[in-house]
Amino acid sequence: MDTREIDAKLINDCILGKRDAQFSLYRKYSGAMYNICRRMITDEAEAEDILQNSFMDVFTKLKMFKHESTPGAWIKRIVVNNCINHLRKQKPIIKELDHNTDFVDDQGDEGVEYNVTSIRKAIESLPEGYRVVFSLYAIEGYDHTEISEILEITESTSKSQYSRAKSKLYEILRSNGGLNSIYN
Amino acid sequence: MKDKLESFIAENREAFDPHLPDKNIWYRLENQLDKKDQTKMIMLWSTKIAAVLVAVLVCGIVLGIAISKNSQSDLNYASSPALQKYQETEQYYQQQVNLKLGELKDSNTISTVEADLKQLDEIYNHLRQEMIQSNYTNTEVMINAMIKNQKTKIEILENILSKQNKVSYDTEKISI
Repeated sequence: MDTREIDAKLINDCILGKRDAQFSLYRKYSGAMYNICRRMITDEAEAEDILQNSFMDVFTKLKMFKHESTPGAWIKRIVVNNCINHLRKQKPIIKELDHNTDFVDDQGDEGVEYNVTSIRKAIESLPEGYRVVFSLYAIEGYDHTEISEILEITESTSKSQYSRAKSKLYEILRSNGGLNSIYN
Repeated sequence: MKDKLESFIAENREAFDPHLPDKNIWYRLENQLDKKDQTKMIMLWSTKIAAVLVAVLVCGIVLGIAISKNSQSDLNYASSPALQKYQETEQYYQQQVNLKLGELKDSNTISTVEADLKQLDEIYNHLRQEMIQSNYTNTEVMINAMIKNQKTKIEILENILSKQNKVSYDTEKISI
């Protein structure tokens, strides 16, 4: 059996309500999905709740899965949508008319040191709207058309928000790098 | 085209997923799934029991009409070939039910199932009684209702057995 057939069998068993199949599906995807939740939602307990509810949605909606995308991509979209809905309940993620309120310097990545931990920390400290757009594009791998659908914004807003997010990220990385050199 | 930052993230993609989900999330999820399955099952059973009750009612009415029309039937239970065949079928189903009952492990489930089966048995005996009282007129309709009753019993047992045989997980298996 190739991967597709194995996935199809697993999904079929999940639809039939077989608990061991549901556990296999959970075990396969929960790690990646949990990290998406943690990137989108800062609160750890809330991220866990969203992961749990998302898999509940996955098992309920699985009979509607049409094998047009991979199971992973389909589950990921459910998780991303749940995260966005959760954030929206608290406040609007992106204010469309807000384009030019934030001053962003445009030095590019000058003086930025590339290392995973500092980039990850910098992403975490981005303002929410920037964090979401940046993660969706640079980490989750969605394009601006997809992001515009997910966030219900225009493509040009997605693009401009992304480029602002990136400038802000460089800025944080530069100032953190500066701090590090003081302590070293 | 990817810039330097995007390429760096793509090349180190796995390192951007440092978190492991807590084991308890699966247990909470499993609880939620169990509750959902139970509600589904109860709905399924009540529908089946209701269907059997309706069948009994219909048979009663049909028989009532038949008796008033043909009160002097002298059919003998043992002499009818259809009934003889039914007796064999009845034995077979009873054997299946007993076999499946023997496979149940959890004592709570056994008592719930026995209560449900008792209900179906009462309906069954009622059907039988009616058949005898009606001097074996309309045996075919009655036999069909009785067979349906037996099949419901077996279906219920099969349903429970499939839930019972689900895999139990140990904690060590959950490492992603």
